[in-house]
Amino acid sequence: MKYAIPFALAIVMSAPAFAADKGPVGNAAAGSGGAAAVNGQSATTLGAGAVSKTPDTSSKALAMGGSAAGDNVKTRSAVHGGNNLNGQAMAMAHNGGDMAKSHTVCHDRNDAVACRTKTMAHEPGSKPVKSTSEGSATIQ
Amino acid sequence: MTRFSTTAILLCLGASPALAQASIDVQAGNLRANAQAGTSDSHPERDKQIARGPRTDDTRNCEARGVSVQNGNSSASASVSTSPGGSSVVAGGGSPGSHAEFFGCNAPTDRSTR
Repeated sequence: MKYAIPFALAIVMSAPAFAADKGPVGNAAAGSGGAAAVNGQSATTLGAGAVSKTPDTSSKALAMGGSAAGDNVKTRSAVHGGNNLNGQAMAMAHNGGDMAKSHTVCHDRNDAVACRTKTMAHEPGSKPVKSTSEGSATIQ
Repeated sequence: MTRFSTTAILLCLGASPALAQASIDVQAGNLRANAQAGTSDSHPERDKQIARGPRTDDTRNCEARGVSVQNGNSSASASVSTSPGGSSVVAGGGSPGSHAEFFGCNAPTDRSTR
């Protein structure tokens, strides 16, 4: 009995920058997420970040999350960095044969936010089903 | 072999009005994230939700958790929350001056300002 649903979508959103005397200023927000599931094992990760840039400063915020359900699960999420933020979230569930994984990485820079999510669902005897989704936004 | 299915929905709701604010909502499975850039009062209800949140020290429901990150001048914010089910984890961070606050079972220990 086979059943696998990997699923991922990307969201891209950028806000138009408004004129500034000192280079581009404005706001941007982006994120991505995805989920994979197979035979009782499921894994989901996502991330979203924002950057607001003025001539004097660049403010950023980044949030990541992961969730997994199944027989053996592992989740991990972290955000590192100071002026430039890097975040990742990983989630995996398996039962020794069937496995679902999801991994999201986000980068929050001075003038851009970019996130990418990769998912994979695999059951013995079948090819892994993979998908990738990306979301990015740049202050122009 | 147990059948299992998971649906994931991602939504993007946002607009870029004349003030050049940017926001994004992402939902996948039992996770939900939001990020906003630019000072905005266009989502007052959402701000209230972040501020009040399901903030609790009740660890009996440790599978539901979230994090909210707010920049010092409120020009950038991001949050992630999970609903109960399975094992979940969240993380958040911001540029210097930001404040990250966790709710759910991380709440008693994980609050930080940088």
